[in-house]
Amino acid sequence: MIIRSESRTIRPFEGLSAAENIFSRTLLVIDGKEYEPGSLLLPGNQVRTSNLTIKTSTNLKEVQQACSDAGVPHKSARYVVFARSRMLRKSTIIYDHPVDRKDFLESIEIDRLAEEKLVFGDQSGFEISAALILWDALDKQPLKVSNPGTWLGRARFRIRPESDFSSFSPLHLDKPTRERLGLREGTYSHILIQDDILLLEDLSDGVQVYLDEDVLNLLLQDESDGMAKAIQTQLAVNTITSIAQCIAQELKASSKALEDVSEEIGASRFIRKLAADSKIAPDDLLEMAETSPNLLVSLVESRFNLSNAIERLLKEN
Amino acid sequence: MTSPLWHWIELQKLGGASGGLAGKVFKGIDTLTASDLLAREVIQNSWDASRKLNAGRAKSKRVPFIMEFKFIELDGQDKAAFLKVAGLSEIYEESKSMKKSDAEVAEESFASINSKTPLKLLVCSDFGAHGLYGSIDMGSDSILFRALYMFGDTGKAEEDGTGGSYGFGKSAFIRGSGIQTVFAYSSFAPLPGDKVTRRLVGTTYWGSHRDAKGRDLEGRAIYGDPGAGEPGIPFEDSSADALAAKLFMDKRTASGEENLGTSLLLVHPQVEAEELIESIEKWWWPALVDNEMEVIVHKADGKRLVPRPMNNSYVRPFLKAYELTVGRSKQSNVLQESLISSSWQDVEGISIGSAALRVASDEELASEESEGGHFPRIALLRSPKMIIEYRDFERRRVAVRGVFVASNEADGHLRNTEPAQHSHWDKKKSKEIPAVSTAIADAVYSKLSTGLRKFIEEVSPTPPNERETLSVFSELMRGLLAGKKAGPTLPPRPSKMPLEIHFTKQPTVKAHRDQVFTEAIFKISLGPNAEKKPYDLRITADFQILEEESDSGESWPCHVTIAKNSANFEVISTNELVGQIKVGEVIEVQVKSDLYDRNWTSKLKPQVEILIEESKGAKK
Repeated sequence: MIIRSESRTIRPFEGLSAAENIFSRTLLVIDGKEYEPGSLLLPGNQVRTSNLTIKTSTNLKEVQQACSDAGVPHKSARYVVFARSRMLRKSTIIYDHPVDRKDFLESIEIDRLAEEKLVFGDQSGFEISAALILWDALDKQPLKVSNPGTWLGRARFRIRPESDFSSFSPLHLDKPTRERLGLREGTYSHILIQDDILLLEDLSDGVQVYLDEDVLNLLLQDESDGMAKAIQTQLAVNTITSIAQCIAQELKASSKALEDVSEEIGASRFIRKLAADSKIAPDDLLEMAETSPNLLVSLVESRFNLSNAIERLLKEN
Repeated sequence: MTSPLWHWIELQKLGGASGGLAGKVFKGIDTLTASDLLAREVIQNSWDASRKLNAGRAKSKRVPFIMEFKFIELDGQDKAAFLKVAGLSEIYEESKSMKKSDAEVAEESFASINSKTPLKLLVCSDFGAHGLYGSIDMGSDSILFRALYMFGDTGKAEEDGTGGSYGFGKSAFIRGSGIQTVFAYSSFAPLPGDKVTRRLVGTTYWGSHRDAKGRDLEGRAIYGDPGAGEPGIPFEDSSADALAAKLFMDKRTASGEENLGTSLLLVHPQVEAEELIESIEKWWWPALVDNEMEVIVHKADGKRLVPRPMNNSYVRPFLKAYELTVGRSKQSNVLQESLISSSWQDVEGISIGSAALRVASDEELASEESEGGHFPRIALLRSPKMIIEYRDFERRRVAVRGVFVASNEADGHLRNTEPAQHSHWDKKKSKEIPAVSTAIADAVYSKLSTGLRKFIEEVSPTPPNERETLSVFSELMRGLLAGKKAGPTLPPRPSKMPLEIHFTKQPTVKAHRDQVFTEAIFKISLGPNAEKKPYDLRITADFQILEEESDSGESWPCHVTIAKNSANFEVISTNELVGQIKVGEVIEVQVKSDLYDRNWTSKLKPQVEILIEESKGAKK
């Protein structure tokens, strides 16, 4: 079945394109590296200690023009940066600038110590948003923002610790686990993927990778060994192709296109990234996962340059 | 020779239902035990009768509803007297002519009944309910007739807010008796044309069979008053009281509405008192904690048991979520709970209900298997306050318990979608169920699933790193999961799919008085990878009103029209076109939504599907 679709989210206001444009350029600088809005996975210690700066990539004139375009008086709008912790659900406003005031900061450094520690101390991560917000109630008119709190444009950065994808670190596949999973004796690896994979923001929450416990222990003894690297690479190939196939199947089963899945969902990011890395269109990747899984395996092997790795290994031995 | 006590009904010339059907309705429902079925169905029937009796009355004026389950054990002369009065030997004799499966069930049960062990009985009595009023001559106007003489239709489906709707409730108590035999003794207010206030009748339900005399029987037999002139007529008033006493049932009276109700005597019950009380707690705790009913179980030794939901480890984790759902407590500021329905929109103009979720503590779930995580579980209920279903969702690290309470508006729709056992809401479209009802059921499950996902994301702690980290493997996987570093964005790769779809006029919102609508134009053409042949296409436009912070929501009407190159396409429904396209052709389609609230965010998704022969056929 060949289906193509496009989708657009439509806010019921006019004159927001300037605001949206401003926030599409907003960056979060983490220890000197710039990141675009979206979900970011960082090592745990970086989540706890990194230097964070919002680079607005705009100026007051542009912000004021965005307000004018939306029919919002400058005095009734504010540029704000705020953060919210993931588990503790505490929020804090980091920067709050009335748009009719001059001293607009184009770069906003986040002082972790001065800010609410329950936000930036949350080991599960936090979300930082920059937004242009209507502060005062305005007369209600169709196509015009009027309710206080309505955002004209915004950028969101969701920061998670890398330990969130520790589930991609394999679990022991021992006898009781084999029995529980209905696997036969001698099974060496198994990839278990939940059927709500299209709902999970963290893909790893829905994927469990099992590896024979003896093999796993041997791999851990010397990870620099060529054979250990090759086995791990092969496991990564299997895992990635299994996930891609499962996503393709779930999309088909729910009559959805990739367009329908928010980019905040892990499955969406996974397919788009794999497609971009493999230099094919995401829809083609999904089609391949569904109809030609062998080609997909080749594609992923190619991405990891598996032939070189194996060749090196054989030469080493 | 004395006349038989039980009247076996012959199959009608033009056929009819087998009596065995009554016991089979709930057979094979492995999620509900015999005790669960008895607790759910018997109380539901009685509770419906109480709610009907109290309909339209202020809370302070309502007659209290009491449900009693009394286990009795008879031995010696008492047992012998009961067996004789109840004529159970007649059923045993008849069972020898029945089909093998029925005969074996009867043989097993009668082996116990006829042994020296005490005979067990269970009397289920409700008080403060309207009772089984109406002479059976009144046909379907008689509650007694509908409850015990008919099968599959109680007429309750037309009444709002009832729990039952199919008239299959008797199946539960029939199955509750090892020999599928029940005596019903009821007291009720007299009717203008029927001054009787008590009636008693016995029924037994087996499969159709041919008896020793060669008669084809339904399998259903009625124990009626031999003095009534014709078989199968209930005992009335004083003769009913006299027989009840011989059957060891407490006397019923119609003096005062608080005494009205029905006692069902189950012979050789298949449940024990302790499991029954657990089932009552499990399925009826909302009505119990709201003090809307009083339930008592009397054990055969005289010990009195009452359901205590707070002490039931299965139920306890749901209680706080329920308080939040019904608005008796406010959402705590400290993380662990959420009223997820606060941002829900109406479905088909109907508010569907309220739902709250809460993280259950380890202590609360001490008895639950937790290896590899927990199954989030949400209790679903309607206005009768019986749990319809404990819905489990995908296993997660965090244990969540939640409650969904249907609104009064959605109540009837959800009831429409329930199967005979009232065990879930069916969201599949069907000819037998109004489309709006299945749409509401679908919306309930979908909103709960989305709300649960978001809630779990918010409250999930960082997972414990008990796993072994393989550095090469993790590094390879990391590349596909980390965020996007700033840098030039490459243009999207063109797809190899033969179809192309693009907006030529981006969706634009326009005002109409105090509301808005959306307009857009998109074009469809064949791409460079298309074969040189015509393609049959189905083009649809899906327009949705999004819920807060969500990427999906309720479908909203929109209309498609062909803006350009229309010759080979026709509009087959408001948002659907079918036709043929050739290489080089471009089809332009205009979409316009219905009016909607000027504060709502929406989503437009045009979609094109290449029709293959089978799907074209299916469409036709």
